[in-house]
Amino acid sequence: MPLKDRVRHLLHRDQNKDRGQSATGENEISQTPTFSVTKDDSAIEDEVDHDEKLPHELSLKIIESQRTELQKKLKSVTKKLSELVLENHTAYMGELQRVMDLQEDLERANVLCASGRKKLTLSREKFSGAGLGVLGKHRKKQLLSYLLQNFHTIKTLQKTDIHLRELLEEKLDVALSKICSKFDSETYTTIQNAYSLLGKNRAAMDQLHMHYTSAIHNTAFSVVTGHVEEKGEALIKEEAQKFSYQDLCKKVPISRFIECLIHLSKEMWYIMHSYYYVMKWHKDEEKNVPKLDSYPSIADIENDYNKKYVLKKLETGFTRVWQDVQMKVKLLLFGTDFSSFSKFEDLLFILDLTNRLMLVGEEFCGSKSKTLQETIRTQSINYFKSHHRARLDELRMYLENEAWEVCPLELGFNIFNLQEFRFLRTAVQDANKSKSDTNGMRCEVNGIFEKYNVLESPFDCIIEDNSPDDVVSTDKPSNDEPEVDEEGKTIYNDNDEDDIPDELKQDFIDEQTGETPSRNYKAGETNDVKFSQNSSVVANTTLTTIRFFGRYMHIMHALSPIAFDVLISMTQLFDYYLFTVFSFFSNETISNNHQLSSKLAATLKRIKDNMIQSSHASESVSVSVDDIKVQFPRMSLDATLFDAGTQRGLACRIIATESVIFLADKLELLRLHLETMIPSSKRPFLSQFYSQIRLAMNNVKWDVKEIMSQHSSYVDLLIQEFWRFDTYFKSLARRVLLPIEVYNILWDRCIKLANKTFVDGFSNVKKCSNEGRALMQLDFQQYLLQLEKMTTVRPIPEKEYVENYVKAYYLTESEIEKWIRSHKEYSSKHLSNLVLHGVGSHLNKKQKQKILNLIEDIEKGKKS
Amino acid sequence: MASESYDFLLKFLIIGSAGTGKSCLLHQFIENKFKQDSSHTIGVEFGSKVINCSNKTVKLQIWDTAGQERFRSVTKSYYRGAAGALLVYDISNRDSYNALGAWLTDARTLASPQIVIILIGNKKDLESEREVTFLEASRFAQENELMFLETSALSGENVEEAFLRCSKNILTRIESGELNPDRVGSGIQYGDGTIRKLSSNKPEVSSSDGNCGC
Ligand SMILES: Nc1nc2c(ncn2[C@@H]2O[C@H](COP(=O)(O)OP(=O)(O)OP(=O)(O)O)[C@@H](O)[C@H]2O)c(=O)[nH]1
Ligand SMILES: [Mg+2]
Repeated sequence: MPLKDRVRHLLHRDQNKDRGQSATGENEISQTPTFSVTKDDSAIEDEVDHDEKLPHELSLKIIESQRTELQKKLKSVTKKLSELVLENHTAYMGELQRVMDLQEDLERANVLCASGRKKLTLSREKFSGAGLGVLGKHRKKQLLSYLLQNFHTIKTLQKTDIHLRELLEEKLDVALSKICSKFDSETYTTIQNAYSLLGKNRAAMDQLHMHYTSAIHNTAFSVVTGHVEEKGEALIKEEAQKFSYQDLCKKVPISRFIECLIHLSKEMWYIMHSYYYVMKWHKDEEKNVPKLDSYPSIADIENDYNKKYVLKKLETGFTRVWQDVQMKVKLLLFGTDFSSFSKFEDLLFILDLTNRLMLVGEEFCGSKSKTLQETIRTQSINYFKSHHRARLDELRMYLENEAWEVCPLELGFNIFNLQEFRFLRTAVQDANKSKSDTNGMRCEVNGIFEKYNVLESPFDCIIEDNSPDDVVSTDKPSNDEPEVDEEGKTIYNDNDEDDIPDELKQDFIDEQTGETPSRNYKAGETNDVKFSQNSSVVANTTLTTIRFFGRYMHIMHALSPIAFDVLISMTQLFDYYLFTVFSFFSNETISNNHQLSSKLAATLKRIKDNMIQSSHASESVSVSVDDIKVQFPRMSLDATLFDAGTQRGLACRIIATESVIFLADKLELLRLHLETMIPSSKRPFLSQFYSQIRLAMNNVKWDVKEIMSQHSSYVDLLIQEFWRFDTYFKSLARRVLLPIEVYNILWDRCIKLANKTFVDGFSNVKKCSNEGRALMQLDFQQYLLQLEKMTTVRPIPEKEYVENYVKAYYLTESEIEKWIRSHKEYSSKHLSNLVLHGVGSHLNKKQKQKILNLIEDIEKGKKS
Repeated sequence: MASESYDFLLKFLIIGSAGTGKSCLLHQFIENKFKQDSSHTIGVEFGSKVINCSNKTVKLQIWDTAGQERFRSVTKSYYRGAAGALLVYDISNRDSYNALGAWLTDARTLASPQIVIILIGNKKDLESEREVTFLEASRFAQENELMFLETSALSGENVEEAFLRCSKNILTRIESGELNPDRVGSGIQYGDGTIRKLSSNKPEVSSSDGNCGC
């Protein structure tokens, strides 16, 4: 049993050992043997306990008996015990063996434990510190990451805040940018307040200016893109981005140019309009804020400074915005070749538009719009050059096809009724107006921006009125024919005259003498020959030329910068007309220069040199726009029509000449207007031109009649010719109201020429008796008599010229010398013939030679 | 202008009574627009346009004459040397139709007798005010060997067609030899384009002013 107990105890201890391995440790293991000894002692004590049952009287016998009994008992017990021991010996041995094994195991375990503990201690010593550190750090990390999260949150919040701010600013910015194209006071106030809250008033103003710049750019870009067509198709936005604004401008087709320009002007106007109102808003605000008091706070000073900054910025901005706008418009204007505008109306329209724009610019920032003016000038010159070129060619066309028939004009006709001159009425009215309200000018300033509200522009009305050419189309004055009047479609009525300013009326009042414009032009159809005092003899081309004058003046009016160039071109029209009339009807005389006044000859030569293409330059050679040379005019109609020998020819000549005079008259009439249109520095040119015209005119009268009469080359046919001439002339006068002046001049020239012819004829007579001379005298007397019957011209001019020549035949040698010296009017041929064949018959050779030498000397004297 | 090249230049006339719409027809033809505020023509006005016709480039030189009686003497002088003419009456105005005979005589006598004339009944749009039927006018045209079209200068209907037809007819006659451009007063001139194209069959043509009288 004690063994069992021990084993149990051991087992128990083992268990304990197992349980408290880490806690108890080595001590217990080393004490195990002592422990077992103590256990043995307690077993002995157990037996001692038996003695306590002993009786009180202790006798030997009892003790002996007891002892014997006990001995017996002991013996049996011992026997039993040994039996048991023997019996259990094997088990005991086996058990012991197992105990041994166990002990062995335990020892091994002990060793293991010991080493394990050692290792554990080691590892505890080595790692638990670091572990704690790790742990600590881990915890720290956790804390930190928690913190981080919070920070993140804060950051996000902050970001959101910034983002919101940005968004807000962006929104404000967008709102601000919208202001650029459409000002809205309420929105703007809100935006300004917002910026004030953000403390960004100044930045906002800078931003606003950037917006204006980009608004101008972007708007212009998209406007132009909208009008660009490539191969007949509209351009897509993405495509357009590839091009610069300038390139885009070049791609606007000419047919859409005007539309595009209107559109652009309008959009630019909106931007400027908005800018103007932004400025106004700030000015108003300035007014409403009370002045700084004497002890201003920092904030007040800051605020005040901001406002000043803003106003300053806005003020300088005006010029910049306008400059930007000008650039955009300029590029658009330059994108198109103005010379390809076929219609004057188109140019006028563009000019009108640009003028409006410049007016806007002037009011916007007091700018004279140099850029635009330059552009317009350059482009108008381009246009005008080609326009002029075309007009010259057209004029040639008209002249070459001209039949020199009188174009019957109304008696009340005046050129200012022509559509082409209509602009003068408004021009004069404008001039009057501006004269009367020079004082009113000031209040006009800013008018334009106040006049139009946000949705309107000064370019609106033109768009509605999309047929600009109606205003200035190539129309004619109404000629009374009722059908048109009834339809109410004619522009001019007689009462239109009321519109004509007096200064214009004065000029032509005499054209209307006594006659009311009559519907039926019958005056010339009566049989009475009457000569008009004032009627105009005008050919179709003359009228066309006058219309051209009107157009040119209109251009001058609209385009004062190039007015002078236009004026020069205008004089070229006249020059060409004049030259053509000369070359058609008096070409002969150009070669016979002595019959022309030298000044006229010089004028004609100048025209020819400057304006007439040399004959070998063929038509196919393309003419550059700069070249104003026109082909030599050629009559495309049958030239025989104008033959000097026919009376038709006479009519043509008269009409042509008179038409030149008419043209010159009208130019004189226009002089006043021309003078106001060109810069004063150039006025001398004008006077020079006019003096040239006048000169040319005097000579034209002189010259053409001269040629007219060249047909009368035979003395004996002369009278008959005159009869024919007179009859024809009178019949002509029936058809055409010719001025009496023309009639008289014609007769005058005819007679003078006939006289010359007489002298020519007489001088050509090789041999002549005195009777012959008498006959000559008689002929001439006869002729004079007849002549006086025919013409009212008195006295017969230069009849002495012939008479004296005939009488000279009778002179003696000494007389003839004197006579020759005093009669310089005869040519040397006349004189030498007189000496050789006439007077010479009673002179000897020597005398003849002497007189001939005298004639030669005189001739030399004339020439030098 | 001088830079344009064309094969032929044809001289055209527009004749007919006043107010029949001659100027409007010309304006419509050249500008493709109705001339709102047309008033009576004084004398003669001129317009030109280059068209393509029978594969040729043809420049038309068109003289728009005044219809009013008092301009008759001026306008007559322009008849000379016209290759083609538009003889215009107003379908809503009987008088303008009745005057056709006189206009026709003038044209045939004053211009070349070979002049190609197309009769134009203008203002086709005024159907409700019609005073001349299509039928009677086309009969008149047939009797007088004229081509015939009704047009409206207002709507533009048949306007280009009128000029084209007349030009085409002239070109056909040139090809068939019926018309000789070299004849003085034919109203036909060769442009620089023609010299090239026709040089094979007409080697003689070298001058561009075949009908210049001087
Ligand atoms: N409804 C209608 N009216 C037309 C048409 N063509 C012309 N008119 C009108 O007719 C009137 C006369 O037109 P014009 O072209 O000036 O006539 P015109 O033949 O040139 O007249 P003259 O120059 O005097 O010979 C104008 O009021 C035009 O508006 C048309 O096709 N339809
Ligand atoms: Mg007309």
